[in-house]
Amino acid sequence: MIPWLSIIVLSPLVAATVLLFVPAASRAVTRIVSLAASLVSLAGSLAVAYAYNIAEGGYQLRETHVLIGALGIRYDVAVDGWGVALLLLTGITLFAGVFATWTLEDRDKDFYILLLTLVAGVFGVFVSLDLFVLFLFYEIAVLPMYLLIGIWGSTKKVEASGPFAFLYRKMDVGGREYAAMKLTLMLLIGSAFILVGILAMRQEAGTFDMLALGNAHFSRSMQMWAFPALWLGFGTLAGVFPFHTWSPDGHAAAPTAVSMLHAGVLMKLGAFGVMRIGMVLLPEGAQAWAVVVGGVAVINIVYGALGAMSQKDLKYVVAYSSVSHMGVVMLGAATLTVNGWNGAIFQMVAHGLMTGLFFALVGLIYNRAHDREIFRMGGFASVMPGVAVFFTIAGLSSLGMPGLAGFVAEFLVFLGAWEAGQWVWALAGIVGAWVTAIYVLRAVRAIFWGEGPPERYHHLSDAKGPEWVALITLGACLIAFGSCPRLVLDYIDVATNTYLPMVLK
Amino acid sequence: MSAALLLALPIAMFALLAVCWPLRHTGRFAGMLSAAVAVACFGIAVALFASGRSELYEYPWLVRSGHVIASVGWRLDPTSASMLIVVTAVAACVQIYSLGYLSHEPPKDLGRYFAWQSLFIFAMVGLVVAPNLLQLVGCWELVGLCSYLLIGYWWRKPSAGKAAVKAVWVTRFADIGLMTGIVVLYGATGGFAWDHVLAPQVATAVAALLFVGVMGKSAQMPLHVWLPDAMEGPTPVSALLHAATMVAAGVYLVVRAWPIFHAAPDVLVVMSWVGGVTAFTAACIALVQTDIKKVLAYSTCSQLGYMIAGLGSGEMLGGYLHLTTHAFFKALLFLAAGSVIHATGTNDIREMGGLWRKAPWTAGLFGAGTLALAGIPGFAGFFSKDLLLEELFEAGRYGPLVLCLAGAGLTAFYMTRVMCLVFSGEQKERVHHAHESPFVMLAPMLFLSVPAVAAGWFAGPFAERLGLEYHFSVTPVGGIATIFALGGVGLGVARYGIGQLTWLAWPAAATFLASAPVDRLWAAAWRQGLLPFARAAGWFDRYVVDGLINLSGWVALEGGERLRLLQTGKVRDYVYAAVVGVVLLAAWGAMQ
Repeated sequence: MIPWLSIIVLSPLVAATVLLFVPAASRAVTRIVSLAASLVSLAGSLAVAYAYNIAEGGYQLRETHVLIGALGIRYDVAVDGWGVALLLLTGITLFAGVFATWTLEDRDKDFYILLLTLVAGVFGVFVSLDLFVLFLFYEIAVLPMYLLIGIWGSTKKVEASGPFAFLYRKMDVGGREYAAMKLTLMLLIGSAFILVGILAMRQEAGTFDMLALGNAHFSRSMQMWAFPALWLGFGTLAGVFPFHTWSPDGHAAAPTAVSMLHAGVLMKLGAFGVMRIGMVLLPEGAQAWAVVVGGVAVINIVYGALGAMSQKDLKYVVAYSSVSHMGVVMLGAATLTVNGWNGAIFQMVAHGLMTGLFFALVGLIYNRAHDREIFRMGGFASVMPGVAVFFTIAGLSSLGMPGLAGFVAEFLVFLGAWEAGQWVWALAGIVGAWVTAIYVLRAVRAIFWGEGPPERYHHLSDAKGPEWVALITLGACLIAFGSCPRLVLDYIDVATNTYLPMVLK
Repeated sequence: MSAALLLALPIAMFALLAVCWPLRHTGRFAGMLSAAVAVACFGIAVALFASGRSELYEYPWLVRSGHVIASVGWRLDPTSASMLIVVTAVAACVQIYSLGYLSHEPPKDLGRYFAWQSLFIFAMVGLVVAPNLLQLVGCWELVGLCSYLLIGYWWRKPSAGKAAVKAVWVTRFADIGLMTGIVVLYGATGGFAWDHVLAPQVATAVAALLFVGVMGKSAQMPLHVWLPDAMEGPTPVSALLHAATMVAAGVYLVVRAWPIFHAAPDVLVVMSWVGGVTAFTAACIALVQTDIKKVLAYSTCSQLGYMIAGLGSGEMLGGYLHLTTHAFFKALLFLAAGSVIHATGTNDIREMGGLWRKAPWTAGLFGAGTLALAGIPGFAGFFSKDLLLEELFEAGRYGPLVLCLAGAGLTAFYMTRVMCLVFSGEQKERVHHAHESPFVMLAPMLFLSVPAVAAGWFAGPFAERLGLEYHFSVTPVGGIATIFALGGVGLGVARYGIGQLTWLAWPAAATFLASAPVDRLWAAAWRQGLLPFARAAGWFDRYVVDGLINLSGWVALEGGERLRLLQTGKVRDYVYAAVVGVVLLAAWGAMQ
């Protein structure tokens, strides 16, 4: 049997190690090694999806090695239905991300080393069964972000005004160092909460093994405080209000591939953690707090959409739309229904692909125009028709156009919200989709439509060679998953049917 | 042969044009291929209708733990088969017509246009044959997408961009109701079928929510504001999407989900009023429009109002029949208007006059459409409108009935006004260089003029196919409507043809409505409501939520700066600190 999961997790790490020994000047080798790693992970994800037996369900392809016997810490990886879907998402996004930054020149070797390390962490979280190792992978995924944004990021000063302006100048708001620091600190504070939650579980059950923890009976009092700790800890990464503000600044400052992976995949680690660890392992806590989780998710959806509407900077628009769409994930999770959970995981995939495509395009536009102000652009469709087409596809998916992945996800979540007896949630979600239509189409019109671009933009060119690969991969997946949702939904559903009864028992 | 072909052919055509750009960039050839597919679709639709067979195919699209949540596929029954003919006939005519109308477009743009036209046929056919409400709603959004893309066909024009976006904003606003409606339906029945028996309250709730969506798509007051703007698209697009088929999707939804609506009498009453008010007010606004396409756009609003009002009577046939006849004669009118615009190079009817000598065919065809729309006895519009008014009368909906009757007179009047201003009288400057349209444009119009004139004669067999009964009879209501229609034509001719009755100034209501108070209301809601609200959210996020986080960062930094001072580096200070600590510890120990 081929250890596919280890191959997926380790190939980026191996490639990162190999890159350490490649001279910085040999750009081509750097590219080829990174691309090879991403291809191996993508192929591995596809192989896992193929090998996973849906009829059987549960965890499959398990590999176990003892790491620290005395503490019962093991390298224990296996994949469930959710894992299959999210591995696919990560594999696809990494593949597209490597192509989207193909033209990067500034210290590219270091960049790819950090990027691959980060992705290894993401893969690890999705397949780990040992909470300690899972946490380790989680940190591996989060920390490289600090350097990636701090070194390769972009700076855009925020014109602060009002009584607190001194604060903003003092903190250097808008700078890439500021964004990197804010993101890392907020996520690390979240990690502290997660660690406390994990240790509390270990304290009562005496193990880090998720399967054993699933059968353990935790005291109600512990669940009541440990669940919110996990929710806030993981939720910070999922952009839960009011701990989402690292996201707009962070995503706006981050370089293209990093935004793609961070918004596309990393935020899903947070939501995945809330559902798989918080809700499934702490069912009583989850049930008691579901109303709060759902209520905050509703704020995320509507508030994030309004925030996106108020922005003039393209990256901020997309970043706020992520806050809004991750709200849909959390809303689906909070419904504690099959449809809601299926929708939540599906939304992780849909949003990951969609926002990956968005950030790839934004980076592409920014690289050419050196500007991100939406209302200073116009008529870009004449010079970059391909970009216009894919931007529209991503936009349509985000506003829930049937035939694209976003619709399936959002619709399932709405159904789940209604089944949970929360009509306000369903209505808020639907209204959020409408507001999304407003700001997305407004942006499309402002950027791409209208009379030819301003004089200074006449030289802009459309996407080129490798960039096309990124755009077409993500766009095609959005269409494929949207028109044949069962490509991924069948995997998701089998896991949901295992976990939801554990919560509702 | 099956309905699957009707779905497969257009989507394959779209995919081919979308992916294979060299073919798309040929423009005219791509258009011919696309038009050939459309004609083939029409042939298939006719064959399917003639064969009279029923088909039902469902593929489990969304599955949850073994049972199907939603399926996609096709349901062929008399209703969908008849609607298919309408859709494919108009679509085929419009595509052929477009080959002539848009012949001066750059090839790339033309290819794009036909790709979207093909996508539209797919989406509209999918909507018509939908086996459940979810597919119907899905395709409903897709036709909305086609509408957005086709209104924005001339995307370089700022006004076209605005109109395209506005159409989506308004219709999707209404779709909040539609989506909620099908979510509620799922909650009640566990599926999206429209023939479940629902509890009265549930039926009322679902029907009311669905109707909100219908009001958006079918341009009912006060959600009609996007339709006149949608005229920014090429005229054939207006004919196909914004007159004949897409805007009628709302009416078709009501016809399909009839069991739900029929079980919700309260909603039906609201429908007939909304329809009646729309029929009357839109007709008033049409009186004073000077853009030939705007006249027809408001006329479309008004006619959709008739259909909705008719359905609100609790009988389905009148509204549905009017949908089919209207599709033909309004498409004809739009194509003829396009021919007029093509000939004169302007939309403004005040700059036209005496065109019939230059373009006799166009004049005749426009005239045929006008007679049908005005409801002159014998023409298609007469039968359907007559039936619909009769149904309203029988149901006792006198208020909407009066509005509709008044609207009938206005309709005849404003159409006569257009006829007279455009085709009769002196030739204005624009008209001197006008020319008749080429055959490729006239042929589709000629084809459409047949059902526009004669469709009403087959109302009986049509009703029979649907399992309903229809017999034409002369009734007082029909008589009044006919008198109104003839009166409208007469007054129109007197006022605009002969130039008499100049005292017939615009009624205050028409002038007031034409100043678009509803439009301004929506614009104000956008500018003074939603936008500031969003800005407030953005400000709140930047300065309050984020402010608190920055404050904590600032406190940490400043606190560190202050605490740093404790590290003086002087041994004396550290000894002081140690002594104070020892004393405090000792005191604490003593207290224990």
